[in-house]
Amino acid sequence: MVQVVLMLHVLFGVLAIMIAVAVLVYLVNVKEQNIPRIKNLSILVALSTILSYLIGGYWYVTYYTPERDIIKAGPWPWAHTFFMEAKEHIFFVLLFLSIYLPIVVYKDSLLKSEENRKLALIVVVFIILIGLAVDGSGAIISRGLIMSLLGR
Amino acid sequence: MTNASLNRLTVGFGLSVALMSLLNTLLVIVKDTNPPIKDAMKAASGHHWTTHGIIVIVLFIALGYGFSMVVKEEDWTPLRIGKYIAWSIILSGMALVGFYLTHLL
Repeated sequence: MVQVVLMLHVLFGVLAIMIAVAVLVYLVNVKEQNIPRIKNLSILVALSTILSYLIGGYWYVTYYTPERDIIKAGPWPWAHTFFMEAKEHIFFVLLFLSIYLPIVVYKDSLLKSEENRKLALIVVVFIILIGLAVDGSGAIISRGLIMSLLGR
Repeated sequence: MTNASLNRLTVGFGLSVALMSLLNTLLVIVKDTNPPIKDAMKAASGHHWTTHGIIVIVLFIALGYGFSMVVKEEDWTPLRIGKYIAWSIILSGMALVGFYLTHLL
């Protein structure tokens, strides 16, 4: 069950990144028929990120401590002291941006204003970049645990 | 396309994203360099990170609505908001990474 919880955290995180990439593509090719897709997908980005935060947060505060101690005692202690510490806090910026994206695309016309479209592009590009950084950090943290357990 | 004015919520929450990115990093540095503060945050909810999350999310929403009520939307352009967001994320991200890099020394 613990591993399922962790996988759901990863699943919704990756889903949010993939949907954000779709939003980026539609924003680059913005036209009338893409607007509903952009709006709907931006909501899904926010929901996926929120779910990833809640599930990951539950796992982090409930199950991570023993794994942290194993990682810190192993050959890759920086997998926790740098990557986990940075990941768990930079995630909040990802959360803010994901909640902000639907506000931008619902409240302001992307067709009437080139600047509105650019603002949405800035937001979605940062969601993708931070999402990938956080996702990669998660992989390094998992590898740090494996390195410790392998005793290398 | 023209440069249409922004909605108040877009301005307010855009400013909140920019400010909270910086405050998030500031809170990280403050709690990690002041054990009593980190202990108090842990005591408040059982885990310092949970308390951290509650603080920044509540502030994000409160500031977003607060800014939305006081800003004059005609004073802001989407690109100006975008620049504030971009630079605050770049600066706060560099500060956060730099701070945790010092933990490796």
